[in-house]
Amino acid sequence: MLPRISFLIFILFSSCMALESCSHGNPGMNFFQEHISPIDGNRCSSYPSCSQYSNTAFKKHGAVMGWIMACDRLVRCGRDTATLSKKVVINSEVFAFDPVEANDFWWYEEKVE
Amino acid sequence: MTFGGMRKKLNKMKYFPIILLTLFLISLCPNNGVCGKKEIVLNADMQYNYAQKCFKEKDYTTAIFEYKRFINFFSDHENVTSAEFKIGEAFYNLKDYEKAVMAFNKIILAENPEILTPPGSDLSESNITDAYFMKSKALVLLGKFVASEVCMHNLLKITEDKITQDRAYSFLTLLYLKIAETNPDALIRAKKYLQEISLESVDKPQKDHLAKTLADMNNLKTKSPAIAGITSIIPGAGYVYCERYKDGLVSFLFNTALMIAAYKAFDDGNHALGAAISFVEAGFYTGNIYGSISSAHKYNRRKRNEYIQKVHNQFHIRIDSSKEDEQIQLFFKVPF
Repeated sequence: MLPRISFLIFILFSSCMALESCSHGNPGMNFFQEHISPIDGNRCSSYPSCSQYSNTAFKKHGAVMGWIMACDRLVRCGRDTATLSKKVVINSEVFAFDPVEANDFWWYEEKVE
Repeated sequence: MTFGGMRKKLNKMKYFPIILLTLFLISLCPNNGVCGKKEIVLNADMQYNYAQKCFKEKDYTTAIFEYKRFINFFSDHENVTSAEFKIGEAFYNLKDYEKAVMAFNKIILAENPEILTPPGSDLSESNITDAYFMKSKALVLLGKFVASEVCMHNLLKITEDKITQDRAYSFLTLLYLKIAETNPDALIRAKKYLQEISLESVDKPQKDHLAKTLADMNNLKTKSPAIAGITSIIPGAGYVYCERYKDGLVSFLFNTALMIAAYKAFDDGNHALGAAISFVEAGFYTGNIYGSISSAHKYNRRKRNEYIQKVHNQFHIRIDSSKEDEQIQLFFKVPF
């Protein structure tokens, strides 16, 4: 049972966290984006990809909220978000547009300088 | 006269016919590019009409240049302000909204409106009003909603014309419908401005339609973020409440699996693994609560935007003026 659950966690992360650009803030994210995702391939149906989304969430809201938002995104990725979100075409591929701003607009206000 | 002197004079006279002939031939030369440059004298009308032609042909960059040349050389001409208005329009059509605002501002800020409408000018009074509308539209496209609203209020202060007032209120309604796409509170202001539109100039079916639209605004189907948050205590239930059934199912299965895994790990005495799984599960469980509340907000925003789109599609609000039809019609789509 336990190996299956661990495998499930890994599968969930690796299926969603894709490489599109490297981050420079989170070492774990860097490792994933530089070593795992190139082999695993970009299979995230959303834009930005789950790894980019998580990276942005961590940078924008810190570790706790970033972690919560990343988990929420991993669960939602490729499901209802794919049909309910706006579409964006990148390199002739259609992605569901689901940036951090679309998920924190109800409690976070961007500071205008 | 000496013989030598006479000879010199005769020598000079020998060239005289040649000089004459040369001058004669030069005078026969056609006045074209080969023998000389054609002199074109542009008058004000020619210059203005050429600028107008460029504008009509949508060559806005050239039109701006020509209008400016017209203003520079014929600064006393009656169409100068009209040219300034056209410059603003050209900048607007070129999507250079900052410069468009500046151009319209120049017309609006003129102290004496009579200067703007000299007799015989093709800039009518409605064009001055249009300068306000064009400036407001440009400001909307620059994202300066407050400035756009202020501009409309300035117009409302100076005008007593009912049609213009209705146009201004229609514009403000659309403006707040636009703002409502990101800020739900703006719907209340949109409704307020919609009510300001004179119903005298709207026929009965339009009145009913207007009333129904206002009623719909108050009866938008929404989801409570609080209920979404509370129901998400059962993983996935919050998503289901927000009509995200797939997300709900995945959240339920995943959270349940992780909870069982953590329980089994602790039960088997593998505390380190149990703690690791619990840590991950804590993130996914709170993520489920966060996602449910977020889904409720997103649901409400989506429904609100659908409503606004419906209003835009069904209730096209006219802001242009028509001399043929003085009755205000609430049917014109503002190209925001």
